[in-house]
Amino acid sequence: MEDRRSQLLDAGLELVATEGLGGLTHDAVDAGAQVPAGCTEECFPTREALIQGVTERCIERELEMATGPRPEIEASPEGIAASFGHFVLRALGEDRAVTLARYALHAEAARTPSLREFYAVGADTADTWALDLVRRAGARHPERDFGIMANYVTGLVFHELALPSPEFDPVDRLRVLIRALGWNAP
Amino acid sequence: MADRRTVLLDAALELVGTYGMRGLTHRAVDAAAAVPAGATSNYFRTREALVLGIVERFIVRERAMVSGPHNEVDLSPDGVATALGRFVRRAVGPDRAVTLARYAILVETAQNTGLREGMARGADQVDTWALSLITGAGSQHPGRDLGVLANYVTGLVLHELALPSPDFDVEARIRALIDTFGWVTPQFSLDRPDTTDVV
Repeated sequence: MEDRRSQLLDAGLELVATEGLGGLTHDAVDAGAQVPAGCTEECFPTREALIQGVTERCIERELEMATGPRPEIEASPEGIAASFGHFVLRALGEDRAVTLARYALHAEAARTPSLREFYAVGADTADTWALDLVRRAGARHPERDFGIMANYVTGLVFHELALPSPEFDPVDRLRVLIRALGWNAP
Repeated sequence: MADRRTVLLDAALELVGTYGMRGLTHRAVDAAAAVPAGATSNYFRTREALVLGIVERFIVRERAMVSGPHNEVDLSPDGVATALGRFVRRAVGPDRAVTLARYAILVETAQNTGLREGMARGADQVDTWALSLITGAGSQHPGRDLGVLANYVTGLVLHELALPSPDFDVEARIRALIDTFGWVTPQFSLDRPDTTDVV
């Protein structure tokens, strides 16, 4: 069973995705999660705590989107292209709400410096995991290449969300990028 | 001096950047631009016309953010890295309203497919210009390289906006990416015909 915290935060995430951060209130989360009034406030006493919780949840779900149903990703160029490509498809499809919520949270962090520190912690968790994977897959400059791939994927999702390309094949796009980065043959 | 239409669109862009799409009404634009009530409605009859006007305007402003005050980009890997670096610095700094407005409008486009045609037209114009730029700078695979650079720069701006890096050397990062593409600058091969590693 999914725990109560995730249930509340997923409802919060949907709200942020559809209505922006303005739509995120304790009452609205209670209603969205179909729990008795007051539950959300009990878990997240302040609005700031609620925003932080949703940010944390966003990062958890992005990590899950990247790793997919399989916990292990093959550490090879093809394995990474498949896994990043899979992330892009989920970010545009079934997990579109995570993507839209993330833009709203990013914009909020741009306006509210106190949110940044928290966002940085979450971002580090995801980065450490991915950096190790890229290194094992043959990158000769793992930090540079992961930085390039992370920004590339963010931009790709962002552009495709607004203006979908016909016959979009993210796995192939990632493959082309990895080839340009010149990884060692497995 | 900027014409009235441009003044209205810049005011609208600031509004969207600050308050999101919810802040965008004809009256709010009148007030922000300090023009008589009704002026914005005269130029842009519907909300959709106003949004498309903003899309047009941010394309012009983004291009100016790349090419700088003299509307000139040196056609070389360094020149492109400098121009894109300038764009990123302005996008997270003085022109942050343009960036936030762009995000708000892209998200709206994701939800309202009616806006896609106008966005796509703007995107095509930018692509045509940028393709000729990087081809001139020596790209051997302009389609591939532009796709990578455009997505990379967008991601970079998005991350820097929320989480500024302490010592952010954007030109060096973009230059490192361009180096992976293997551009061959025409000038370089003309001046140094004996350089065997440039083919």
